[in-house]
Amino acid sequence: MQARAGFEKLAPTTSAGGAQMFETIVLAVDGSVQSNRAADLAGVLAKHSGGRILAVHVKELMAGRAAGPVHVDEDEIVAAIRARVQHLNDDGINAELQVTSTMMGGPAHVIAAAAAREAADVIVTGTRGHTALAGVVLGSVAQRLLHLAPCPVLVVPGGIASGERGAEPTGAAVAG
Amino acid sequence: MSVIVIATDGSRIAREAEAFGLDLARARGEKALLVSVWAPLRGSFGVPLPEFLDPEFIDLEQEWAGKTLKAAATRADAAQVETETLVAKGRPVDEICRVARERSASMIVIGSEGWGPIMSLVLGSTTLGVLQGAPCPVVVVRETDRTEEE
Repeated sequence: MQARAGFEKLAPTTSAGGAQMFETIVLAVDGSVQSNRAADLAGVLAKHSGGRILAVHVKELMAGRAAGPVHVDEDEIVAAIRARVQHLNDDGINAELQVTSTMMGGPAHVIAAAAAREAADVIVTGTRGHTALAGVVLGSVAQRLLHLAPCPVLVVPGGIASGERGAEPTGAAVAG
Repeated sequence: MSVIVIATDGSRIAREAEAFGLDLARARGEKALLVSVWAPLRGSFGVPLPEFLDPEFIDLEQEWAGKTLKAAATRADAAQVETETLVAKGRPVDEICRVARERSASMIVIGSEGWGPIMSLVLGSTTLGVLQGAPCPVVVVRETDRTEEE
């Protein structure tokens, strides 16, 4: 292998050579405790790499006669998310929030599409959001995201106490 | 110094996960702990084959895990990331989570599939298991040339 002097600099950096590994971090937020943890970690990553964060919140809407948001406290949720993103900004991190709504496809599609559009380097998400079911460790949105994502997905678990398998489900029905 | 556990089985996706993990380790100034797990062969319906039956296969499995790690460590050196390698024996899910817990890993990096023939539709069973049992955040790296489908 003969590398001519002066050409090495032009050679495309390998995946192991890029100093700026997280130029764009897409953060899936829904205002849940888990997504707050994900936001914290995204913040740390952005700081390490000088990248920016695009926080994406997807309002789930119902169609038909009962049209409206799925979560009754949607306004509160959005306010909490705004505060969270502001908190990142206060921390000197370039973060912006994108709030969209969907009736079809679900949040995972919207988040994956945002990541593709922004050529994101990583998507950061909690394991599950507000609608946690007992015994389900990986929520449906996280799971779909793992399938749809155009880039690596960083999944942040909830309670990280020693040895436990997922946090206790809050307010969830106990199945069987 | 905290560590990032990079789980590898030598598959193509694992290579991508490894590259991502090494980048991550360097960006965060952490050490990479490359882990490969081999399991004793199992017969039909999960009945364990007595190990003495086929020591050659067992040697091969173990050897493969060692080779995989050695190659990964060479690449890590080239990427100038401090690394450590570990070959573990047992069920990959259990071993990966155990190592992460014991070493208080900051993160686990793993490919979306690989790790043997039993796969769920979306994620490899090992990856899914690790997501469920992990004591820390997990990065799931997908195969890049599959991104446009769906």
